[in-house]
Amino acid sequence: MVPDYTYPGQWFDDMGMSVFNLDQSPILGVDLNTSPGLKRDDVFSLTRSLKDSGFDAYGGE
Amino acid sequence: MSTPGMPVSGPGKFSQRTDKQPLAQLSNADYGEQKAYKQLQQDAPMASSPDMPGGAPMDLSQLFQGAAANVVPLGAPSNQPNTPVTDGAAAGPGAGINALGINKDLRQEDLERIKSYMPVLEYMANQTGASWAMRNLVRKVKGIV
Repeated sequence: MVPDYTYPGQWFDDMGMSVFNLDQSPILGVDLNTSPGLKRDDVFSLTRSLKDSGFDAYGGE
Repeated sequence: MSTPGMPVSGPGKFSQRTDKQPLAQLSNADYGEQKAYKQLQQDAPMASSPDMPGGAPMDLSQLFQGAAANVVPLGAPSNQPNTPVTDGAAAGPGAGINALGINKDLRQEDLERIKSYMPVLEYMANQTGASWAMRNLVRKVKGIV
């Protein structure tokens, strides 16, 4: 993760946001926020796309 | 809310116009208040004022010019005889619901947007201890044609 944070603890906030939004697959929120190759904007974009697509990692096809 | 001392219009048959009443007077006005109050009442537009839109007589036939000519009677033949009644519906002859342009699979579109992050996602899925969910995400996104 590229450290482009503006206040201490923002990483936790971001991860909480991702986990909360990806309630079907919360572990993905943790994965995205701990990824070394993604910026904050990327994580937001991915989280939003995953949420909007209704992706459920544990659901059937 | 009504102005004190002014007649009030009642309900139903007791209703009466209240815009044609004489100017009211303040009973306990201070110096200059009576004049200001009178001026306020005179400034208010009345229904008979020519400035009011409702004041001038309106010719409805002019307003809806030729409206009757555009009305299709119930028993009249169709204006689109070659278009089936199911045109635009999900069943039957004619164009399907896709013709409306609102049947785009938005979920698919979002998954395709995720596709642009595939290199990073693949890297994450290939790490030891990668979550099952991440590996499943990569598998599903890869499956999109």
